[in-house]
Amino acid sequence: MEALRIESTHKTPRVILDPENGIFELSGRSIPEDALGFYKPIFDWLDAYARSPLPVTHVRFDLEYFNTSSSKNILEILKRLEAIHTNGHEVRVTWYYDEDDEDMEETGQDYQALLNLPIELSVKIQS
Amino acid sequence: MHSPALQYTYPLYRNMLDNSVVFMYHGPITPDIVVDVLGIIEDRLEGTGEHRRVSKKLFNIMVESFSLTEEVRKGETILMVRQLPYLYSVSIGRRIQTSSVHEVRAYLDSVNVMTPDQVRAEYHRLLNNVAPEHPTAVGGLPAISILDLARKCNGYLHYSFEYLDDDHTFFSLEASIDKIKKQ
Repeated sequence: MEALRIESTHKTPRVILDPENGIFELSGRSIPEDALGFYKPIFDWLDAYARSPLPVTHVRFDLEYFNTSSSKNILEILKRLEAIHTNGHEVRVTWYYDEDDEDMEETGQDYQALLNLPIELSVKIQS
Repeated sequence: MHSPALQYTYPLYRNMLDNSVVFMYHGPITPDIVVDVLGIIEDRLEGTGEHRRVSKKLFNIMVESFSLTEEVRKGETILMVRQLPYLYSVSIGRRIQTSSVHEVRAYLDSVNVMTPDQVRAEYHRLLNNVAPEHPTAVGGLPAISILDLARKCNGYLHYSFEYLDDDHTFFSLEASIDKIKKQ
């Protein structure tokens, strides 16, 4: 399956969905002009991937900041991953947050509470 | 002879100083402007010795405050950041329909009496049960953004309405964060 790669901008995240190399990642900021327009290709890609996923899919979320319209779309991504997981294919999510960013940590906890999906909260290592 | 604009420069400066306003923006708000404003605030916070926990929180509140102004494109929006000895406050102001005032006031009053757990539960409900393309609105404002601000500031959302005419009212909302973490 062809990878989906979207380069980051100063208001949208970098997206890599690359099953061949086992890289699934969203990173950066997310305050797009049209959140649904930005996330729709990701939903479509995941819907196609769900038909034949890898035995283990490890997805990294490493976001700097985002607004609630993005958080709803991120939840939609996680729901698609949850469906893959429920269908017997292992999915692991790592939710990175800055140790001083309690809101980002709390958002990860929200997703843990709302989904039946292994989501590990992990403090970013400062470079 | 002074130009008319100069008559307002000092009073504006004095007003901002007296009210501890460290940043003010008036105009349309787009994602590009959000990024620019955050960059300015980041520059201002750098070197002040502000704890990263506080600056992160301030950023997150500003990002969400902008969501309350998303569809306002004609410059009626104002954003203000105040820095007081023990807190920061972020205020946004925008026009809303006068017919929406009652609904917005009732919603804010209901959020302001919720416990943190109730705010969280309601936030989860809206996040989980409402499709992204059909967000729940309260008088034209995204309800989830109001709840998100209430969660982030962990306290009371102050608000005011200034009647402009039968069609429009100026709505202001203020979210504050303590510089010192509450235990």
